[in-house]
Amino acid sequence: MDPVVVGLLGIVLLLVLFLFNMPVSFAMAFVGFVGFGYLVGWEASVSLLVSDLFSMLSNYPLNVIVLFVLMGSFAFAAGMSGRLYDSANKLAGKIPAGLAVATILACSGFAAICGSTAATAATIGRVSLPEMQRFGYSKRMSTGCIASAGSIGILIPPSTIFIVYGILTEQSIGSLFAAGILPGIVLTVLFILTVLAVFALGHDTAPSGQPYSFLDKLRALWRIADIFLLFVLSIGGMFLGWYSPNQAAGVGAAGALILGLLHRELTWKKFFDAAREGLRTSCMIMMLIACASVFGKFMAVTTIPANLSIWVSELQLPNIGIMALICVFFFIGGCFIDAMALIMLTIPIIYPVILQMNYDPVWFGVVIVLISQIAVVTPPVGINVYVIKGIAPGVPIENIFRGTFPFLLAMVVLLMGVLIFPDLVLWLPGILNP
Amino acid sequence: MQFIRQWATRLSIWGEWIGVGGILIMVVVTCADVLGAKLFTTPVPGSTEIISLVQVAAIVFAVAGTQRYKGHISVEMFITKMSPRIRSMVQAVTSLLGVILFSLLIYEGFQLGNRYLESGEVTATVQIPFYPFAYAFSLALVPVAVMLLVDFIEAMKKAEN
Repeated sequence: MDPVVVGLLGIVLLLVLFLFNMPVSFAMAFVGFVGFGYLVGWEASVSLLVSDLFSMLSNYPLNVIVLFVLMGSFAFAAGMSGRLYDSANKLAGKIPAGLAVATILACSGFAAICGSTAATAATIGRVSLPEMQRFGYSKRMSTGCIASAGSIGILIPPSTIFIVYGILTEQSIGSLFAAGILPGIVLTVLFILTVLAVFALGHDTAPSGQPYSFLDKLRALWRIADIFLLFVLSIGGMFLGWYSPNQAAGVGAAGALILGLLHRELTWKKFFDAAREGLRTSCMIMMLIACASVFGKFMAVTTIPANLSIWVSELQLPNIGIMALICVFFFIGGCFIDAMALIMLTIPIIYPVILQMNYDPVWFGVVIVLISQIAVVTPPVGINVYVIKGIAPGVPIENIFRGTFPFLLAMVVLLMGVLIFPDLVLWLPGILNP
Repeated sequence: MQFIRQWATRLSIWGEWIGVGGILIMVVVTCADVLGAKLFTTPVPGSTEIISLVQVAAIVFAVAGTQRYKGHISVEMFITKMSPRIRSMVQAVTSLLGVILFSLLIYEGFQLGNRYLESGEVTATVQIPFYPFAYAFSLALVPVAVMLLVDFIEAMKKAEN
């Protein structure tokens, strides 16, 4: 049988196994093994399966994922989310929809020490949701705001999706992290403007917060100075070339642990729970990467990625049209499959097309992350929405989805901005890595 | 069947503790390496090799625990819409495929360990032998295969009923 046909059948089988609820990583390894065995030989395929998994799981650059995930887990256990929210609340003070603004600021702050959208939404949501409900915020507004603001977690470094994308495409993780900072700040501002606009238009109830004196605000900033220091020490140290991304992640994890101990927030139970939680998340991501590698080898022998590049080059479409199609594909795919899994599945196939069109891989990484952000709050999968549903079981899921709609608009505006003005993304990496 | 599941669960819990130990070793070695290199110009010799091998052990020993907590990403929205009988049949099929996959990994992981042992392959700097980690890779996946086998048998029983 023609390798391309085998490859297409493999993709269909993979989608069927996804729909049948088989874990995505296991399904990719299984289909990769079967497809490679059919095309190349069963002995080679069995050997590939185990050697690929062993070599990927023992791959030193991947250690950055484990350690940054652990940093986020320790930061959560150390109660940093509570302090961040409290300080953001005081800084927002009496401005309209102050608690919602504080939630967005706290999510951005927590995103600087945690690379996961779900963890950011869950962590800040547990602190901010009761407060917003206490002050009479509408359930739709409060839950939608947290679910959306949590998505900033994968844009501001450290971001697990940037790391995975960087490893898959052999791009500098430092450059990708730098590329996410400015869009992350712009998105934070856009989210705040969205909250203010919703409030001003009177579509939702979002009362102002309490007034705080300038001294209170300074004290609030001082209370989170150590978290800022942790970010500077870990991510900043990496940008300054003090150490590698792996070492930055290790320093970050140790720093979060030490801060937890200094603030007497970290009990033995919290410490081990955080370590186990971090281990499970790392295991999930690492298994996805390792199994995607097996599937990627299968795709390579089918010649589908190479053929796709040729096919795209023959299309009578401008590059921006092809990019729009890729964005639509990722958006639709992201509605049904977890963003991380989708990236691992599709990047090995789509990446050669991006290179062929001479798009900057770092810029494309940010585009992918932005689309992933949209996917985490759109139905039917919208992982962040389900996370918030877990915190607020009394709020109907469709209400939370509806609450995210205004923020979706902000994300689309930023995506358009990044597509039209690539310098928004590439300016900072250009300065930090000239 | 319950006894086997309990046995696999216990193994997965032990595996998780090994994994936790592993990730903490990674943090300690990384920090020692940074401090050693920056303050005393003496980085930990072979730190990348130590971390790489500890990493493979930590992650594979956590696979069963992650599976127990349904931590591996999967698409649930379609299966929830199936009738209980069809759902059980589908679960039986996916569990069986998982059993095949992990049985192969366990067997071939063991073979990989044998090959490393025979060839005496070690890491370049600190000469850590690879074979214990290949055997650990194989051993750590046993509870995953057992859990999936139990899932398969239970799903088959449900489908029959």
